[in-house]
Amino acid sequence: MTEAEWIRAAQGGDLEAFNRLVLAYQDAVYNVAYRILGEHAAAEDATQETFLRAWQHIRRYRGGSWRGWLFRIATNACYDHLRRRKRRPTVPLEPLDAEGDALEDAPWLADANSQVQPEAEAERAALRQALERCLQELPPAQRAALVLVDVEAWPYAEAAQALGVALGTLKSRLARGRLRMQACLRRFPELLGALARLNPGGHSS
Amino acid sequence: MSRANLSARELRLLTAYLDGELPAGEAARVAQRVANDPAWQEAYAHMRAVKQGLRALPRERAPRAFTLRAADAAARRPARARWGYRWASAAALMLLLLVFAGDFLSHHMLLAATSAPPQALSAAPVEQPAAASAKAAEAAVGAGTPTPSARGEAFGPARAEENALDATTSAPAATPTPTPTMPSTPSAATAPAPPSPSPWGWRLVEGVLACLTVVLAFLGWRR
Repeated sequence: MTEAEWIRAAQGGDLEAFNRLVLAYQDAVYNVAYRILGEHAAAEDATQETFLRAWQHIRRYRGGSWRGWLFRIATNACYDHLRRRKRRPTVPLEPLDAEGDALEDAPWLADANSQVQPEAEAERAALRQALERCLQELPPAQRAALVLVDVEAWPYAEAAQALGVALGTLKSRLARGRLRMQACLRRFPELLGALARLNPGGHSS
Repeated sequence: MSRANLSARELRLLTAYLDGELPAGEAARVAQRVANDPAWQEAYAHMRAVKQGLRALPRERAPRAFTLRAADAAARRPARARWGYRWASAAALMLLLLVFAGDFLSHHMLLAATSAPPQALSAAPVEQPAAASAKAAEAAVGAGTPTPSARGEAFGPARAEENALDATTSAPAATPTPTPTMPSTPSAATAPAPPSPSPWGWRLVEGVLACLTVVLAFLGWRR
């Protein structure tokens, strides 16, 4: 069966067919949710919520990009989660120093393998952490745009559909988000070299 | 940095160029600017580095299968139920407002009635017994009292006087004289006020409706 046939069967109430769609998309939905929310537990909740809502509203799907329709639900589930988190902020698990700043070199936070990591690998891990931290510091709308277009490599039309915005709005969010990211990454000057080495090629699009 | 040199529109253009989302002609123009203008070159290099960095982030895999079980799929149909609760909550609120209005009006009418002049208070109940006694008198006439003409024949000398009396009281129903079986004026003055629900009754209904409104609103708007 093709994806379109699964969708039609699911619209007719076939849960089996819907679960095939779930299995086909759950990794992508989870990855997007994790990148937007920054937490595994929250991403798991949002993914579950996404598929429940998709099942409940699948009759409203009227063709077009299934992925765009599904991820519209996913991004809304993530935004709902962020709103709830804002209302009920939780205490971060990072240790704090005397001034209340996050203590990044707490011994229990260190990776068990960090002692044996080669230098290049340690640098990549540090760069990944810096990128994840900067991504989480973005406003949610810009973060979601960057996750779909940069992390997931989606075309603009589908990303705009998934975010429920016009193309111009998506471009603005991407431009502003990338500027903020690069400003944030300047706080880690030792990693800029590693970042530049990620793409040694010339101009590309 | 790049932000100071490029306008917001130029940054959007550069973003779309980086993502391959520009038409060929426009893309060629931007490529030329990037090749020849150091500000564009720098901005492009930074944007591309960010994009490549994000693209290189590891993909997280779903920690478990998110497939739905039949029970999950059937258990939650919240949208419709939620709207049902919302409408029910709105209806309960409207009812509560109506009850409030009824309570307010009845309270003020009672106040107006108790503060009215005493004559008005005693006159009103008298009228009802008087009308009732007139009806009773009429019934008595129909049962055994002779008609005026018959009486005139039977009691000769008194006939003219009685006829005059009949002329003035041709409608016996209007006679205000109370019969011995009817309540007298003093008892009418102590008659109870018009019936109205007790204040506690109003409070109870309002309390129940307020609770219902809150509970339904909670069910309708909870996440």
